[in-house]
Amino acid sequence: MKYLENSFLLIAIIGLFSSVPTAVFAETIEDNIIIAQNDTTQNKVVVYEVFGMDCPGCQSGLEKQVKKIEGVADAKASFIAKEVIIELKPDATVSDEEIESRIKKANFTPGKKVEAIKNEE
Amino acid sequence: MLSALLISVTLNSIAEGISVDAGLTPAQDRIIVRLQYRNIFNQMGSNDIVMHIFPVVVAYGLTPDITLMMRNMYRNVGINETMMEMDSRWMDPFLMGKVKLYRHNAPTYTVGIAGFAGTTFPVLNSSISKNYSPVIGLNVSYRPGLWSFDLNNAYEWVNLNTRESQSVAKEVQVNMAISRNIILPGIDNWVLAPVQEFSFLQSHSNSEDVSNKYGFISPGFQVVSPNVKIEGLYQIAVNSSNNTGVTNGNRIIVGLRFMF
Repeated sequence: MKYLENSFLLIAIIGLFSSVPTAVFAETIEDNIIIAQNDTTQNKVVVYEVFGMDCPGCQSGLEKQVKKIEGVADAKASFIAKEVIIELKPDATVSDEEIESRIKKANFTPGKKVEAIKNEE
Repeated sequence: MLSALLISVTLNSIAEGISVDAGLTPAQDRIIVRLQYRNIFNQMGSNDIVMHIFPVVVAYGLTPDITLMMRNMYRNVGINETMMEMDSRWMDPFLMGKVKLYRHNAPTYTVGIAGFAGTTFPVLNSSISKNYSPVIGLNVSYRPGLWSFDLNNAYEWVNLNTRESQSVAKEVQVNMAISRNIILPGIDNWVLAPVQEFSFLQSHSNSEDVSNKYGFISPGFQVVSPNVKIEGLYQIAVNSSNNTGVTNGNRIIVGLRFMF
């Protein structure tokens, strides 16, 4: 009986957490990419390695530069992950050179393009 | 003349008090506004001098390689038991340019060297000196992982009289800061960074031929978010007994920095 009660409780907890919006748990870059794939309104997302950021202040400086690019909807940088996640508007054509130029204007060094995900919707 | 040196001793601020990115120039179009409060307590013999200084700094990243900076400070004289005349007023504005000389961003560390030059401008009616105080300097930064090592060096001609090409005093400032970022659990994009600064200053009065060496050992902290930085520093005076007769007391610096 005790085992049954515990099982019901566990199922209830899992059910409760599964109803919470996924974004709450989107703390890592990988999570963000997965959300981008599942969300039908999401745009194309590209991720770049960036070297030279050492604090949260650096993140906002880089984001400000990248958001100036025509066709960029949003940008999130992480000095811990050494990456910037760039969300492009639908049908936007932004060259790698343009993104790398903006990273350099923020006084950082672009690394390799980690991931490129295109929404099929 | 001695009073000019004393003011220089009490107001030096190029290398003092929490490095402003030191050898790393900020991003292009970056605007940084820094508000500070400094509590200064000095003694001249048994006479106290207590001042409250409010510096305001605005920096702008003109290009990735060039940063322009303007600083002005309001001085409130709390207690002045000396014979020197000091009133509460806005000090002369200071304009400065910082140029990136070298920067290397590696996957595990960043190194940066920047040079700077600037001067005060005696444009205010309340300006007493009516002279310029040019400054040149070199900043070096090394950032391995979560650690920061910053070295600031500055050389200042205090109240340079352009007609005679002679300054009232010359001052050397050397400042080293060490800090380490600590990721705050549960708070995204905020870090706490304990800071330890070491400052050495040497002033020489040309007219009086008096030299003065002193320093500060300064523990402090920074709390950094993407757009706001909170700073605090407690400056412990070292070798404050000097030839000018002024004894430096310990100082408190608190600051708020906004980054746009």
